[in-house]
Amino acid sequence: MNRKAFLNLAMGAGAAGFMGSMFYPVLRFLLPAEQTEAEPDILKVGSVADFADGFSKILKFGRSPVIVIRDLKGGFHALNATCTHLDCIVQYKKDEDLILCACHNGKYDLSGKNISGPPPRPLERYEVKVQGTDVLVFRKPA
Amino acid sequence: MSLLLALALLAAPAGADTCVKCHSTLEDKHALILRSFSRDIHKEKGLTCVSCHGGDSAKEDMSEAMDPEKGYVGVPSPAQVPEFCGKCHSSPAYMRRFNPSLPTDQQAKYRTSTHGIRLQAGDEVVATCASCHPAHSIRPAKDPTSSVYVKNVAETCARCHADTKKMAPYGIAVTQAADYRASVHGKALLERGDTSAPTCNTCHGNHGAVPPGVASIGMVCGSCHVGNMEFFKASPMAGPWERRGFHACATCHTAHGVQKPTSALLAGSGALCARCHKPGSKPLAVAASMKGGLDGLKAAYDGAEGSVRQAEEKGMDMAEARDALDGARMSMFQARTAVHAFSAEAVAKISEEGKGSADKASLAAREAVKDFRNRRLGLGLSTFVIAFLAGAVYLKVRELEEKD
Amino acid sequence: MRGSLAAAYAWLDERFDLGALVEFARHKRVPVHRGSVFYYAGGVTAFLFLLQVGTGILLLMYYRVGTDASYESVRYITTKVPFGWLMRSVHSWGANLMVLFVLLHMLSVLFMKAYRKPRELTWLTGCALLGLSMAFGFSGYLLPWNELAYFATKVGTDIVGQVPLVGHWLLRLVRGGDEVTGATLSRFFGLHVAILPALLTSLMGVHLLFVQTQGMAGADRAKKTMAFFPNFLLRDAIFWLVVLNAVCALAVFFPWELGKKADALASAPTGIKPEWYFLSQYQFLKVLPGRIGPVAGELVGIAVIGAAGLVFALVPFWERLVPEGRRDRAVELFGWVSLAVLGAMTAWGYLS
Repeated sequence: MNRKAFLNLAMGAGAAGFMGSMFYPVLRFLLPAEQTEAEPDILKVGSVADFADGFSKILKFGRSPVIVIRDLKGGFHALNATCTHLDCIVQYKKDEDLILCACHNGKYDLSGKNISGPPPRPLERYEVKVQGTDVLVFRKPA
Repeated sequence: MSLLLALALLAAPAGADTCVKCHSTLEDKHALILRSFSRDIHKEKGLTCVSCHGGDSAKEDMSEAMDPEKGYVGVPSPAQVPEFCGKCHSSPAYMRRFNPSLPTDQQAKYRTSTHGIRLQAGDEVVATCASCHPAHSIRPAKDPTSSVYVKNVAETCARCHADTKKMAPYGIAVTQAADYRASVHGKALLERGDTSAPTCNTCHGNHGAVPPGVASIGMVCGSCHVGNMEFFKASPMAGPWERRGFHACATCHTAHGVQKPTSALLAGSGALCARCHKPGSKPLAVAASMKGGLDGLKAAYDGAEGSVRQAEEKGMDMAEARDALDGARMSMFQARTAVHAFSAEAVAKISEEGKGSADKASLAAREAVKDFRNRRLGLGLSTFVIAFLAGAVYLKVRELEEKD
Repeated sequence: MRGSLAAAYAWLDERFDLGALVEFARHKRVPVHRGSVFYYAGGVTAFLFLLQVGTGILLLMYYRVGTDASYESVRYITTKVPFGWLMRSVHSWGANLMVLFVLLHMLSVLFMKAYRKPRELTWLTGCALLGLSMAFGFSGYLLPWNELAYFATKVGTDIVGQVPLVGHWLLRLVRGGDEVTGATLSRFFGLHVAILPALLTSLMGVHLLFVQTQGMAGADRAKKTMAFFPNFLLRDAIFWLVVLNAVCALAVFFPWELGKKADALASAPTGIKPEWYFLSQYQFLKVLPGRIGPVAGELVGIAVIGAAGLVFALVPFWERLVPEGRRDRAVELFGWVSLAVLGAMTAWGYLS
């Protein structure tokens, strides 16, 4: 084999290898991943039937936990479930119809307002929408 | 009485206060009173000397101005102070004009306090209103400069209660304030500035200050630590402890010097449970099991947190692992609270849940580190390929140029 | 294999006269001298643009626009899609390198005085291409809808609002409303993936057409030259490979961060700064006093930046006013001073 042929072969092999190392990531990128699409910033919490009056549920909404409550009158509420005092997770007290943080007895009303105990700030509120039979939680657009 | 005061207030024309006129010419002590009174809440609300001390500030003549006939009271003795302040502060009708939401039961509460009872028994050394609310420079409790602002209460109480000489006749310890400052509550309030943390009066009351009794101490602590109290009340310990007169909380946690509890309180050398329970007994086995659960969870959490941090330092996105770690952290809180049920099962169940979350985070961190290594490996491979191709192209160009 | 390739070439040549094209490319010569290495900056820029188009199209397969989906979809790309982290980081790093190489290319053209007659229009289209590249960077920066992007866009578009008379109108046009919202995001997305690519591609076509028809500046005067095809192009390819490898290494060792999701109600993070190619302008506007004489300082700043850009773009025209003997020196001085001012302002911006 002469020098020219060798160089052409080397260039061809290099180009083939290069194509391979470029197309492999691209192909892997295009093949559907385990989770096939991004979860939008709207959380489907469940169906209306799951929520009896006085029922509450804590779920992850984006990076933060959210507490979804159906109060005794049938109204829906969704709030950030992280207590504003020391970051414990709050709970719905059905008998008092308010939100309690068991760590230091901090209390919030259903609008998230801190009403007694240590919490320095209200809980952040989210919007709840009932669409058909689905209960959806989303951030209020600014 | 209030009518008289109101009249006195009206009768004093502004700028013609003879009290101020004369007292400002007297020695330092009097001038100081006038100066400090300028920032007193009573002055801000429009009250003057005669509002409390009586007399007539319109009269130039001293004997007329300070005429006991006209209700003049000089410096009240300690025994007179509660009555002196109560003239107004115990009158809802009068107080309503200034602050309708201010309570008017301070004097009544004071009478039931240890301070008040001793005062009525003729002990004039005990605290009265002015001991905590210094006369002529009183600020409302919400004002950070006030002696009774939440962050200043411990210091105010300590002025007497940390004084060995003052406390000696009563045989009361003087370490409470120091203990409190070093406690988890004191640190939260004084160092971290969490004004919701308890200070002296949160547990003892203020105007009705008494040492909380054995029965009430659980309630006092439980007013914030609800979960712990509920578990304890339902536990097999509650009944026997009450009968023996053990404080529900302070027996293990102490009263003023409460420290952040560790699992070492349960078992091992220096464990509190072993003070009463015999070695080899079932309760000690439960305690050891609870300690095992807590320690296992803590170790799993710390390990997972370390791995996650390591992965993050490598630039990997660990958001989901962080979420799992948050879950494990919550389980740690819950497991520590569940200890107060003194049930091995309750602690074990929560600890296992928490460990599950921590393991999930650990796994994610390991995957991420593996992924990170793969990225470098892939880069290395493609660098090799690219270098090879670039080299081949270069040689090809050289070959072409040689031909030229 | 060789036979069939030759047959295919012959088939095409018969129809499209490829031979003439090859002949044309072979005739184009590239001067060889000490500064020849800078000739590769233009090619690298073009390569980076292709890389941006490629990774951009791939990202489009998963990216979703909207305040409830943009951040989430970018997070999904970087964490869930295989090699998604690579595509996103290569796209971000590639964008920065592209602006860098445009600037390098431009400065080398300035110092070699390659913009002179008959290449004034090549220079002007080049200036426009720089502007488009920066617009690409600015609009793309917002698309992940994260905190930094949100505030950078807020500050950046605020400047538009300072323009006299039409400022508010312009601001609303750019933002799609009074505030930076989901409407702004949609707009920037459209700009980034439709309008700017169309503009940049056509303008780049014109730019390359000019270069091909007029040939390289100084090729006729140079002592030594090399053929554009295949010699220069093959050497160019080596540079492309090196740059590609560098971008991948940056993506692996310094993955582009996503940060927190934008929150209109959150306070701006401290020490927020724009991308480096906007930093000198940003710093200049920041250090100006609130008012200069009767007008707002920021307005004066915008006018000065605009004027400076115009002076730079119009070099081929004003340099003729300088007597011939001193012309080269004057342009070089202008180049160094511009470089020093931009460099100093950027450094100041970084350190402050």
